[in-house]
Amino acid sequence: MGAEEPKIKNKMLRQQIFADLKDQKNKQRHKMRAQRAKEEKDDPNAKEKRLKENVPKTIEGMRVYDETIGQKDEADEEDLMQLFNNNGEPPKILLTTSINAKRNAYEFANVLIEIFPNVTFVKRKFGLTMKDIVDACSKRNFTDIIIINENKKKVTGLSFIHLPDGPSFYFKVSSYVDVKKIVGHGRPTSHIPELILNNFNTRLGKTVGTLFQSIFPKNPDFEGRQVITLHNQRDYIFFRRHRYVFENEKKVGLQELGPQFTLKLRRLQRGIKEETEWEYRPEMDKEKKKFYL
Amino acid sequence: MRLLISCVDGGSLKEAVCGVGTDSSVQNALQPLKLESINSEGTGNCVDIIHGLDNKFLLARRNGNVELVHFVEKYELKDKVTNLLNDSRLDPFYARSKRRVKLRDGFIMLQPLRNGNFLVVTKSGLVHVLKVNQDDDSIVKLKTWEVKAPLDFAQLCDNWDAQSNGNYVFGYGGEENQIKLVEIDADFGNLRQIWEAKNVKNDRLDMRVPVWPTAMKFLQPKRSGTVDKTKLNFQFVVITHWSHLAHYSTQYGKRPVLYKQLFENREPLEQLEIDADATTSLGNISTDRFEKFAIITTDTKKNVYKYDISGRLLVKLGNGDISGAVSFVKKVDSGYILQGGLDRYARVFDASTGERLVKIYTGGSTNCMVLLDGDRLDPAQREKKESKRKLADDEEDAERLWDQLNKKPKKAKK
Repeated sequence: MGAEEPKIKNKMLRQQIFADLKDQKNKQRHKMRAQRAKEEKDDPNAKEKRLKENVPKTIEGMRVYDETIGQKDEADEEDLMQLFNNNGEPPKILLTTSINAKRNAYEFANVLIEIFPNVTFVKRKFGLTMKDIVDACSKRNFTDIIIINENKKKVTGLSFIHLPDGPSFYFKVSSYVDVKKIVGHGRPTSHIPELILNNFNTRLGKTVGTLFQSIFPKNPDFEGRQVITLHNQRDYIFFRRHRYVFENEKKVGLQELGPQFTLKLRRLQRGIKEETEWEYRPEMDKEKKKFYL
Repeated sequence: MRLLISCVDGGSLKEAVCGVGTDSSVQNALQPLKLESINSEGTGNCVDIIHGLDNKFLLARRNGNVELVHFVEKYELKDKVTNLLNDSRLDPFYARSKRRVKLRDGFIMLQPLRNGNFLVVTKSGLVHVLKVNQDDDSIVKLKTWEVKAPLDFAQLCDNWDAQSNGNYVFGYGGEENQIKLVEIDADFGNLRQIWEAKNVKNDRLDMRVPVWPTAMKFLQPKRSGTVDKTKLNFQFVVITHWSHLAHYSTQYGKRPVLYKQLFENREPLEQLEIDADATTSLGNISTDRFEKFAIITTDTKKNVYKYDISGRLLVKLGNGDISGAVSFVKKVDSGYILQGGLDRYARVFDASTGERLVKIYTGGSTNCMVLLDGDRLDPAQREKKESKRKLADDEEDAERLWDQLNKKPKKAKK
């Protein structure tokens, strides 16, 4: 309400007048939109022109310049290909937990067993060093190790170690939603899913994207119609799993299979957790428009 | 400024031309004038060490070759020596090594001797002497010895005056391999160990302190005070994987004079460079006292530290800017510190102020860098400046200047 307008002392009346004004504005807006839709239906170029002119200012749109975006280097590809060094054979994954893991970690492991193909779960034992595990896995032709990190009875992180020479990734895990809590969820099948990787643009992002590419087989079972999406937005990687359903020849519906969780890259290291290539620092959060993936 | 940069990814050699103030990570900042790959042979063949010989370079590659190349505008391979590495010598050490990745052989040192000879040392303990003939651009292997593996570093002592007999001395060490000094005859007839360090005493809990020297630099032989001529006279600074800084003097004994742990969490120290007024061509220290110079060292995270010689932190170079482990740092004569690492940027710092002068995205993690031309301006800026200078030399300007000088100076107001 403007400063010059007389103040209505009666609260009920004031609220009523304000609601009426808002309603009026909404109606006007809806009317304008309907009219615009009608005009744009007749003239398809008008919509294109409007969308081109009205680009909303999003944080992603205003991201800080990163010279690695859009650069294509042969050397990069060679470096990324080291994640696929298993001579064309499908990936073989060992899944384990941190030492002295509790129930939540094992439940999360059960979920991951369903998600990742060709995975073997091994209960973590005391006295085994990382070097012992890596050595044993390399001898058995495992291509990757995934370690569920549990802290204070909560799953907090996921480590991905590529064998035999690395690199190693550590992700923070948050916002986990169990399958049962997703309304209308479907039941997953054992088909190899298709993989969608969204917005992995920078050089670091491409490395992370290639990691996910490398742990899923390259030949998905299309008849299963299952899709795993890893969507990167502002350095948070959203994990979702769906089944697409053809409703008719034109329409496709999506049925969520679950679970949902979010990953955030904390560390990328050369070798088996050796020299740090990139590490998250709390100061990085200060700059809201700088993204690393 | 002209740099030759070796990248691991793609095994490429890149030439960069830039001026002071270049920062490729900022869109509006000065960009490098040139960044071009001059040679690319794949990641497995990347260059680990570059040694410049005017327009020629000796390249020690990861595949076990040492190549003599000519590069002014075009890269040209002149000659090479192959099969200088031996992975199988490292196999027995993997089981008891702290490293989790399988040990692979590589070059750790390529340093010049006299008369066009070069000493090449590998991780597996192979010591080669190579002869480079610059007249007919050839390179041949003269001799090979074996020393105790595994090695993390080797450093030649270039205080030639000290060795009156003309023999060469170098030091080496590695994981659970104590520092040893080795002497090579001037005619490369024989190699013998002349000194070996002893581990420090057990700690407060009577536990053995692990040994893992990662780099060393020699000082001049001790001159001041009483010198026992029956003992060897070598002095050196060492850093270790367990974050120790050590001073050794062979006159003092086999244990270090000082052994200081720089970090509580035993963060591994990897590189060692000396920041002093005068250093030798191999980066050794031109003084006989453990004072008045600083060391530059790196860890496996992102830090480049500058410590004084007693182990007090002076400054962190590139703090907040460097985001990956530093795999190369070197102070060069023209007052610059070259730095490169896993964050895929090559940086040049001013050695005296620590200010960052150049930052270039190289596209691959940097393994090695050489400064070809230390001019602070890039060629375009230099041309601009010179054209301005020419204008000032014009005759008209000179006349105008004389006129101004002939005028009576104004009286200063009281």
